[in-house]
Amino acid sequence: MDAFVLFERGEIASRVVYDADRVETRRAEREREALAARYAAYAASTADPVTFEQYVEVMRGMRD
Amino acid sequence: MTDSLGRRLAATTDAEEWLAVEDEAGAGKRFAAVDGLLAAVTSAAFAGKPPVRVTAAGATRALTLRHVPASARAALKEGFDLATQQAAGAWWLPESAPIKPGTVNLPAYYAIEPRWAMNTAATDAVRVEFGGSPDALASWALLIPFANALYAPLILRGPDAGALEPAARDASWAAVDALYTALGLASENVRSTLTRMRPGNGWSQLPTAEQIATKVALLDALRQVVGRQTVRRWRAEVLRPLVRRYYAKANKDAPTARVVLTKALQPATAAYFGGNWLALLDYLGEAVAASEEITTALPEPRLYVQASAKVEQVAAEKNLPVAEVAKILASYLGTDEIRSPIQRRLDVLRRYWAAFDTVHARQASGTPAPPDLTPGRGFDIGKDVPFTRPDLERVLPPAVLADIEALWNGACVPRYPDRIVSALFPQAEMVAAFGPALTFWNNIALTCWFYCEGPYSRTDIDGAAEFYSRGVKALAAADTPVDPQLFADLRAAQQRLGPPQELWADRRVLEAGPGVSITMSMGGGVRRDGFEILRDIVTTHRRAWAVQNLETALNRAWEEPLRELARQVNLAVARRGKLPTLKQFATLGAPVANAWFGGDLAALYAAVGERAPVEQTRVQLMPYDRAAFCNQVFTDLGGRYVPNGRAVEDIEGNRLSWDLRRLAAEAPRFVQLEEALDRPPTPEEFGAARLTWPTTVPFNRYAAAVRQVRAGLDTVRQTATTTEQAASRVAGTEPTITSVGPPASASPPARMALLGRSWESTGQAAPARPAPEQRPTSAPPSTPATAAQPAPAPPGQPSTPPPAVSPDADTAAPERRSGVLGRLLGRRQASAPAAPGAGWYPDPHVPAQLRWWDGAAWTEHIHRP
Repeated sequence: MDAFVLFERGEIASRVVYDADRVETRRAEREREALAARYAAYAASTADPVTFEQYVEVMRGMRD
Repeated sequence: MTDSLGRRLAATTDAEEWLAVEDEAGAGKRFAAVDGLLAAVTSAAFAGKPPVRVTAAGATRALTLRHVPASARAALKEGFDLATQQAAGAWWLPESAPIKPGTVNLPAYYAIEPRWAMNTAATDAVRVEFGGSPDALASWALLIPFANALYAPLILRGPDAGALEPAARDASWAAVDALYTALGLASENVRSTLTRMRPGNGWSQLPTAEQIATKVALLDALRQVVGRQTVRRWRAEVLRPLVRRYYAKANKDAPTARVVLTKALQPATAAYFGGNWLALLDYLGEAVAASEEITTALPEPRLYVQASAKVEQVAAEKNLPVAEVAKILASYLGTDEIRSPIQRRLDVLRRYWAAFDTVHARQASGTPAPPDLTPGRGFDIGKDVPFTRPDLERVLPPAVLADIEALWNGACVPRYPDRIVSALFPQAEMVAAFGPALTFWNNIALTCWFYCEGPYSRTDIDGAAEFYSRGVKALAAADTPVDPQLFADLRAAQQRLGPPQELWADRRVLEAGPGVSITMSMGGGVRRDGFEILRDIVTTHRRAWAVQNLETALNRAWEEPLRELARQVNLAVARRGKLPTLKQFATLGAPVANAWFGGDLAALYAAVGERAPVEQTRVQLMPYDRAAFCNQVFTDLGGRYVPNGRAVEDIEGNRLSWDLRRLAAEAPRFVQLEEALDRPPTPEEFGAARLTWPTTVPFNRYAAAVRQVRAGLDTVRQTATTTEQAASRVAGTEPTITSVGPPASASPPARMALLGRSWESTGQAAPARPAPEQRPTSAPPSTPATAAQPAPAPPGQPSTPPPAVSPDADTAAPERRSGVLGRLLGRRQASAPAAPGAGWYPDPHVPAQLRWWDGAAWTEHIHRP
């Protein structure tokens, strides 16, 4: 059987192919947006909120 | 400059020309394996060997390809593996589909038994999972499209021959002619046979035997001309639309896969390019689009469900106060406590199991029949009234019933995703959340009862293992197996049971004359002594099973569907490049949202780590006692209950009674739609046409009756007693919610306005809100409405918000929060008071009643518990 060309290594692959690391990065960005929306509620409810970065770290530390 | 191969192919007008261009470029070799597979399968079918086999595989059916040569088998395995194609970017492939592979077998079926060939092919219809089944994917992408085209005349003259309008029918026959010509199949024999089959040539006048002979003749004629070149031409025919669409979409920039690959073009892409867009571009000789994205993997789902267990650990790691971490978590969950919606429901399910176990363990001979503790989505039929409340209402602790009501009363209906409406049957939703274990252990207990106490049981003890085999398999598949010794112990125990005793119903003694009496009786089944023997066996096994498996069963019940939902979200992102719309998400997530989140999609989004695009509105109009509601609607419609048992006495009354009962049973759905629409549904929205409407009950009268009845009934069950709450807290399983509805006396519009206001979204990031089951309507003093209860403020100062909570206020209502949050947030409340959100709070003037705080000012709405 002739093998199909899957992905050319090099420029094209690095540009258009989204491997596990890249899709995880994107998912993490969406997760960060979700956290940002909730952070607004948290920050509005407390006089001395932690920073957003701390908030993200705390929440990610509590994932299943 | 030479055109690319793709452009030259797009310019061809027939298959021969396509193949010539392809051969000239040396580009056809890549398809040799797939062409070989299609040729081999077709050849097997013409040789009388059905290549597709559909078999039962557990609860589903499986598809396998047979008579495939080893070389083609290798191509099949490599080219049609779903995971491989997805790893090449083909996330657009369906993961399962209903398919009708029987057409692939048609020549063989006609060779074996021509009279029943079409019917046999029809029985091969099956829904297949493509994952792990290259045979199924190859059938969907390659074999079935070819067979449907090749054997189209047989299909057009098959069982559904009359289904097409004349114009569509003529177009279909014209398409047959065009395709046969393109594939080089229009031999003299084929053409003459087609002429006999074509409309207008007296086909319907032919005897059945002659029709069948003609079909067999067509297949024989096709067998003589179909060959390797046919499948190559077919490839050209199915790839031409794909190639032409590519160039139709190409302008200054190359088009992306998402733009080109319509649903109709996906099977050919999967069949001939392994779903690999870059392979297609390589074949065409075109460059990849600048904005192309080829996703080769999905991210792992990340869930926020059991975070409360990590609060202290994370606080230590991040060097933050525990209370602050708890507050962060509560804010993320969007509620006032750190237990996730799933954890709160798991707590109730554990309590339900304890009550369930107790009820079954205490059941004794001589007592009323045991209740069905797994109510379904429907009403039981009463003896004296049309609708009865579920059995469990009479045996379960009020606190458990109230918690079920509170946690499973909300529902998401995908058509109205911006609303949380009332579930039609909250207890059935709870049962569904629990999973198969509850049903199995409930039913086996009922079998033991009815086998001993009569009158009848659905199975005897000897047949129980077989009768319950499906449930046993489901539990084994979930890694929560039932010990098979259970059935062996029950069988052995039969020797210790008493002999069968005939039960008699309706026994009458008639004096026929002096010294002569006639006893008339009707058989009512049998009973036997010894129920407690069987009960104790089941109890022993049930408890052993629970020790070993209950937590696993409960965790699997939520984790599998939630992870699958998260995967579906990631899959949708890979397919479309963006999150599913709210409606799409609601469609995907409604079952898990209703089982574990009270229909709250925002909470579901949070659980899978995604941003909610909208805050749903909760409007609660539904009376909590659905059976009482329906009974009253039945009465208000003029119903006079005539059950089937009295039908012989009043046939017309029985018929009208059942028509009205059917209408009354739909009343909760009417109210659910009213909640979703903010107005009564129209007859079309309600689906009135599918119901029978007595002349005395037009739709308008029905709608008025339903609204009037529901306005007079409470929407929320009476709360558990203080004593019960205290007992539960001692046990560490305090009720999560004990809210009550708005005043029953409120007019419907007022009630709706009242309820709606408590939920209105600001469109901004949501402030901390009560959990959905805590949000609706009103809350009595025992309701954990928010962690920060506002202190009373004089009504004369409407612009002054309730002051932030004081330590005193915190300790004044300890039952209003979960034990964990109470512990974790106790000190925080004193040092970092939180602003109170909208909700019901003790009235500043009249502590015995509640007054609505809209988040900024006291309102005129009050509630007297």
